[in-house]
Amino acid sequence: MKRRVPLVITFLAGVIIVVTFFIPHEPFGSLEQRLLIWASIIGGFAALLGIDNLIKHHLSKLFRRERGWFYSLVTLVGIFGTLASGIVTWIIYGTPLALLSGLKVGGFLWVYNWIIVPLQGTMFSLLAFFIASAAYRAFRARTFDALLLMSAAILVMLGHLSIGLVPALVGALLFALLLVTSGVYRLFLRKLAAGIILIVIGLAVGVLAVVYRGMMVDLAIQVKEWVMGFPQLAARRGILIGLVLGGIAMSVRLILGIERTYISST
Amino acid sequence: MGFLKWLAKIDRRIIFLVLALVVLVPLLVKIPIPPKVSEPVENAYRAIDTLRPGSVVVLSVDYDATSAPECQPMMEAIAEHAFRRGLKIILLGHLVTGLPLGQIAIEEAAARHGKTYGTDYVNLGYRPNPITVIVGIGREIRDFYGADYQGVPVDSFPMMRDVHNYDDIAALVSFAHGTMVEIWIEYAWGRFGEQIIGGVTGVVAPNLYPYLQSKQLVGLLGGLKGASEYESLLERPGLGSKGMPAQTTAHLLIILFILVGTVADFIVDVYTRRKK
Repeated sequence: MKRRVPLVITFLAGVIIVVTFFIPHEPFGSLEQRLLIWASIIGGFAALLGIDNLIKHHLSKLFRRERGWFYSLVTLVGIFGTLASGIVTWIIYGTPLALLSGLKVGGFLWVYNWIIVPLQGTMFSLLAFFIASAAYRAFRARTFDALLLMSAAILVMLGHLSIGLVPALVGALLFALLLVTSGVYRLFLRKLAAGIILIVIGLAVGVLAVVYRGMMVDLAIQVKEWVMGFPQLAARRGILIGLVLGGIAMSVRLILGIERTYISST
Repeated sequence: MGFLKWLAKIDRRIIFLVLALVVLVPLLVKIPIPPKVSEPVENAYRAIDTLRPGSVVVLSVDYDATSAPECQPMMEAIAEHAFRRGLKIILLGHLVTGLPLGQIAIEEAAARHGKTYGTDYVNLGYRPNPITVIVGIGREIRDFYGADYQGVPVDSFPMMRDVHNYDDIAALVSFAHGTMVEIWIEYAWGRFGEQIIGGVTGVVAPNLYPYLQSKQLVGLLGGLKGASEYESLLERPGLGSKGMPAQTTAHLLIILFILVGTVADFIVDVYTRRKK
């Protein structure tokens, strides 16, 4: 019974939604809308369950003094502090999202503006530093595949930074230098053909960048759009088609009750 | 050789310091360089610019503070453009921690143009389960957004009286740092033919090119560059244009890092091989 009821509910909900996609008229249309409203309400309760689970997990870590318990304490203070701030703001202003609460220390929007936003911003901005470090320490054009990937990345970056002649020209010359260096490296490794081709391409890029410097900004944007619009797009579309076919297969398995992992872990 | 070995395995703190300087200096010094406008941004601009005054546009805040440096300038630029054109804005979103950022952008633009809440714009807030909400709006927006973000019934707002579903919404702009634009396309465009514009972070933009090519996405603003291009079309430099010089120097530095790191690595590798 425990397993059959969820399977029947899943089957009915899945079939109704599929049918109403093709027949949006009454009574299917309103039936679908009702199901969607239910799903939205269940989504809200799922968030509550998530919060409950999070609190239980961190309380247990805290009481058992497990490794990293201090961070659990910070998490709990964050959760309850924000909740308290929201309730107090609600009582004072009649809504937790009152714009005036942004001006009062401890108000809900004050917590948002001065704690949540800077913390989230700081966490994400650290990524720039890690990317720069990784670019320096891990990006190596030793193989042809790595060089191809790196070239695509640099060409797209050039298109993104081309807000003026100097940055576009400097970027193009750096790229040319990278190609020439990779070619020289391959010559040392006795890969003569690859080395010569890379050196010639690198020199050509450098010379063309200097000769046609007036067109560099437009060219950089066009090259970026070409990389994004053809090779990148083709690969991305292939991945998308695969993903969607996988999604359809999984949905059919769920509706027919073949896929049951959402009921239990076995 | 010792220097090259040091260069190949340089202390990451030096890299961090150089990057911090390279980002900070252009932010402090004004470098006015007008950007060239790419086609996806121009299409987005035209889509908003050609809407009839009084039309309703939905601005969906699907980002939060983590992506605010890229998405907030787009939000500000499009809100400015919409009010300039006399359009009415419905603000909603699927990231609860991002919605106040959208509200701030709209309030600032509304103050500049003398627009009033309820007549020219509303904030419908957050509802859980984005897919169900997006599909549900296709039938009746009130089924999911019966009240605004402060609990005021939507029927009490003059601009909402004739808005029921996508037929009454001229265009939808999703500002996102994840997959929300794709979800809007799949359900709001796929099922109801809604005109959709994307405003996304630089890393998300490549994912949306298939939809641009198939015209399922009318226009696309990708990263800070997209925002600065839109600002240049508006002839009103904002956060995007101010941030572009810093992004440019940071990108150049990363290309330089790649070059220096690669050259040092090549030389050390060749030297080690010869020694063997």
